[in-house]
Amino acid sequence: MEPPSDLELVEAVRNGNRQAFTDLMRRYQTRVYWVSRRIVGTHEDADDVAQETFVKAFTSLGDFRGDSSLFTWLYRIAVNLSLNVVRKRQLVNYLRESDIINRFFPSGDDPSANVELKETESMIERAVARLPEKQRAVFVLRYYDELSYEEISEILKTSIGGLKANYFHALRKVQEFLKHETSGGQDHP
Amino acid sequence: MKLRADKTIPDDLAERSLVEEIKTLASQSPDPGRTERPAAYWANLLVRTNQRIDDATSTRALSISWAARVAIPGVVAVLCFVFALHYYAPERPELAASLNSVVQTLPDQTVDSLLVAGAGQGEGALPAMGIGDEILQVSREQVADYMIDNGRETQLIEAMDDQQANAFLNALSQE
Repeated sequence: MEPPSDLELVEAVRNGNRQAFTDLMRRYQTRVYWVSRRIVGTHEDADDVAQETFVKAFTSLGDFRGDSSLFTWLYRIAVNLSLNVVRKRQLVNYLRESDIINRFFPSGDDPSANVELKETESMIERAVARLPEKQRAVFVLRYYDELSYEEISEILKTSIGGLKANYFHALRKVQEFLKHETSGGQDHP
Repeated sequence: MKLRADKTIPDDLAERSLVEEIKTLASQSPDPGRTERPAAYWANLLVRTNQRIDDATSTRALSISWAARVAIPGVVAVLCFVFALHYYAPERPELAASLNSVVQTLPDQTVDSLLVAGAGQGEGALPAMGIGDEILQVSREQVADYMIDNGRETQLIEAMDDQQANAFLNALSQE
């Protein structure tokens, strides 16, 4: 017996079948987790984003009209939530650099301090963490998940031309970083 | 205006060549790559997510959410409206003064017609709404003079009480 399609499961959830949503989560949670993990860089944040993605999907399943695939819709939620985390972290980093946080938390016990660099162990992840948010999202969706530009365009609501340009810039930056690191450079370019 | 350094869209070949180079470079360094999560993690993630959905959709969460989005802003809006109505209601003390000044500019004939209409208890009277009471407060003597001047003696006499009628007859007999 064939497993039910995404749309069949969505219809079942709309009819009150909660187990159908668990089946959907089981089907997509790994991909949702990893796409957000690669954008946000840390397990804790990715774990939180993955959960929040499904909560949001469950509560707004009524808005899903089936124009795009469920997977694209879930990815859009996950990418947006991940980018929110990145923005929030950038703000915290900015405040820390501008010494505002130290004034309020003089003990230096800020748990989010340097969390990005601590957990991005792989070289390529360190390179991705340095990309601007849009390029980071495009890089993750294209390089790791190998999505087509049409799919990425639906997820990020950006033109395909813009995506290609963003991806190319991201590739060049990652390439430069890797070249620098493998040649024994201490400082990032 | 900010100009972009590179507006060209790269072709697929350039993109693929860069990707290959990145993969080669990444493979040259000690790179742990994707660390798989244990199976228990995914099972646990399902349970925790379901718990979070329950929390988000519980009656209490919904009522808090409803209060935050609808009830509290609604109450605040009503309070602001009442407050504004109470403290910022338009007062127009200049209204009476401006009415007086308007009356001053009216021709005498118009003012007379207003007086007569008031004294005549509404016979063909102009609507008095919005007109200050003070301009209709005229003495009975003024009304009497006016009626006599305009040949309305009969009407004047009918409007008199006994005392006034006697005084009037006395005055006539003395002439």
